[in-house]
Amino acid sequence: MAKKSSRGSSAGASSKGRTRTPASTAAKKAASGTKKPAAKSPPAATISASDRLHRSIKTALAGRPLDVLPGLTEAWMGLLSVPAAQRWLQHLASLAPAALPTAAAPPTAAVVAPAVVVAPAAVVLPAVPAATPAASSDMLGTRLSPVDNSSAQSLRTLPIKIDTAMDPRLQLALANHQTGKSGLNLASTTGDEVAVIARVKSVEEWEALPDIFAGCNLGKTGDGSSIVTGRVPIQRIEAVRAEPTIVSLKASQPVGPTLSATIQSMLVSDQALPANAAPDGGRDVVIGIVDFGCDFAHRNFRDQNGNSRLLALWHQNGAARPDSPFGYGRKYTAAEIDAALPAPNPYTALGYGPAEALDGTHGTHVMDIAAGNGLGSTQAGVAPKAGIVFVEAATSDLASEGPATVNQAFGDSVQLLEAVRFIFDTAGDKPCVCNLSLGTNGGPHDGTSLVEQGLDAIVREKPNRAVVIAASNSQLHGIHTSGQVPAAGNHEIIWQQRSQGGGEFEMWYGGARRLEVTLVATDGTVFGPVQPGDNLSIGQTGAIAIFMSSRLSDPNNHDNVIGIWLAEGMPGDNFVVRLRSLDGQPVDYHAWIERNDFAQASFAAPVSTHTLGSISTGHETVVVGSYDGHKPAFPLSNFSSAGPTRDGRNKPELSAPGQNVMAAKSRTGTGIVRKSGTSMAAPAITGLIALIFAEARRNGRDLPISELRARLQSNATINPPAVPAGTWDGRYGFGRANGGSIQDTPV
Amino acid sequence: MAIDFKSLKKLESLPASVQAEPHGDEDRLVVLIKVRQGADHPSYIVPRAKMGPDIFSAEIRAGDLSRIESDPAVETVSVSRQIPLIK
Repeated sequence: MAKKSSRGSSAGASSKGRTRTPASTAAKKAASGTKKPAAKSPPAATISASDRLHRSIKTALAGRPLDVLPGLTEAWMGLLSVPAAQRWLQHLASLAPAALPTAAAPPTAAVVAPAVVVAPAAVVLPAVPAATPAASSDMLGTRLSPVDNSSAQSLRTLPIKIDTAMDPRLQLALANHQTGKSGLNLASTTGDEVAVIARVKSVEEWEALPDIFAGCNLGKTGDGSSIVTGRVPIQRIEAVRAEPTIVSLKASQPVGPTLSATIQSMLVSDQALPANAAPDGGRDVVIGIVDFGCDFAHRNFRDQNGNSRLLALWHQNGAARPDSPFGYGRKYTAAEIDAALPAPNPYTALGYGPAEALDGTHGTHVMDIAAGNGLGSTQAGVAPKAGIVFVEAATSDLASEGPATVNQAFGDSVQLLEAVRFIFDTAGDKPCVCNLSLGTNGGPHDGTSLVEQGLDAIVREKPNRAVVIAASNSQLHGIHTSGQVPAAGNHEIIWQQRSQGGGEFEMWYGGARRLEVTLVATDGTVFGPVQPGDNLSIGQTGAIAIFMSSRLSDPNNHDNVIGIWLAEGMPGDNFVVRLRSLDGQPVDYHAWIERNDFAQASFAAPVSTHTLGSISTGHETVVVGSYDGHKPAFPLSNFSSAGPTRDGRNKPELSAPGQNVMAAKSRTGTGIVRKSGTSMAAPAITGLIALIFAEARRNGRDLPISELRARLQSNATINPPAVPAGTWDGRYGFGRANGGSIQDTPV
Repeated sequence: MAIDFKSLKKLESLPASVQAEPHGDEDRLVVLIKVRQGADHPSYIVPRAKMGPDIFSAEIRAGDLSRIESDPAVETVSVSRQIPLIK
């Protein structure tokens, strides 16, 4: 990968705000594993259009309630084009402060959340930075409303008496009504009514009730009763519920996309679990997340008492202290996190917070899918009672790029392994599953890289351990090709540069063969040939524009590898990699182009297999592809990468819902956001494994990784994929993982 | 003195972009080292984290790569490389 391009990214940034770097500068920046001094400010080139908009509004609103802005700008930008949204927001910014929050927000601000939430157990939680809705489902009579930022001491028990045997949402509707809250006037329900679903003995008697505005009859149940809908005045709920014909009366619920598609399609809800299985939400199992942006204050990661569910949080780029793991970064204990939570701004209090990304941080979303408890968003993740250890990943050589880079999504191979080591060490003797959503395109793709060997070694140390990795999202990027260089004559691979973004080519072939490589530029200029075991630098003094190497016998697998790096800014579109066999033998090869999120180069003739990420080909790790869990046919996600590995093993092993997944949004307290990717599929499997571990532990059994993998694969659901049971599909794996794997029977 | 990556047979293959960057002996590198089965870690390297019986991480001088290359206890060494988020 042209590393300058990668470094130019920022969390949530797009390519729109980027300026181009000359090839010479790009070459100078190509370093890895080297520590450099920190710069003081982020490069302006990394700011996206949406970030600029956000910042301009922030500036215009200096001194006003800034915490509402992320949700507000996002909501507007979701409705309007950026220029239009900008004009409106700039206009609003010129108005009085009081006019901003409620007048501007649209009625469908799905991501906003109350600043203070009263949990079901009536525990009062501290405020977290959040946006305030103008009109949302929170204004329904059956929902809690935002309240003014108050101290806990100012709140008191209200003198409300309601029948506790009633549906909780109806209880809340009555409580809201008795405290003077007026509900929303909706298309079908006025503000003093509540929509209900009832099971009744007689439809006629139901429709005859004087307080009922009847809706529709949905049909009969097995016992002869009927399911009906209707509207009931809130103050008459208790009276209606007491009518002899009523068997059950429940309030309707706002329906929105949530994690429920993941839970339902994987059959991991309590109701769908195998008979006799009681994994109790993964209690006493530890889920480790190595990612970016942990919103420890989000309600989904706090227990009923408001305490954090995080056992530890390690910020690898934080300031080191004597107790820092492996001598670097900042570790936060559960006690430190709990101490920060009551603060007006818990992130400031702790000294760590998720980046202010308009679409929420990746790590918070991932963590919710695996382990969220739904106390904020109302939908729990797969293992809502598991303990959580989060590692905010960082790379050892990015400090030189400044704070904006710190919030970027880069880890590195060594610190990734150390993160996993930290998580398993923290878990101690508890079962533990670790989720990784990092990867790039290059590498041997045969499980022999040292980082993959290291992951395998950690998993093999003890039973009740697993590492789950996203397959990657590169299926549509044309980043892999394969073929055979003939025994005689040239073989050409066309490498398509995009927008002069440069790129990095990597080709692996058998160690017994010998290839000569030449690069031909768009204008016909020839660079090379480079002989086996040699390399070639091309450029000007102090500025390499092209680097070619032909390495023999990698020490891990003894295969040969050809690498070509093309600096950003090189003119032309198509570059030809010309290969010639030197030993009179045909040579099979696989080649990849490294990731570049701004200007992804591709092959003119890509091959759509072997597109797994660089660390997704290990022997013991579990690799996960993505499908859409919202659709009945569970179609593959078009981005989901394909196996097998270069040495012919069947990975990914499994697939899970990873498309359009609604899960926790950072810095909202309770909000959610939609994201797609194999990064969203992997944590679903991570949560499932936590449930499997919990069930095995309940039965007093240890699960070695071999048995865990076998159980997951043998229980996977097919159709799709359209393959016989027990066989493998290149993208679904052995099938769709599900709760049947929780049944604790040895495979 | 600049490190000649081409001469380091025990070094896991590096991306071309990393090879293109010159490294001096005093540069600090974060590495993974795999020692031969049953061998102890080299005395001149302080392990940072152990990933198993044979693999550990360490921070070293780039100049130590030559010493590692000639150390019979070391099987292979990998210089840390960036791994971006899959998104």
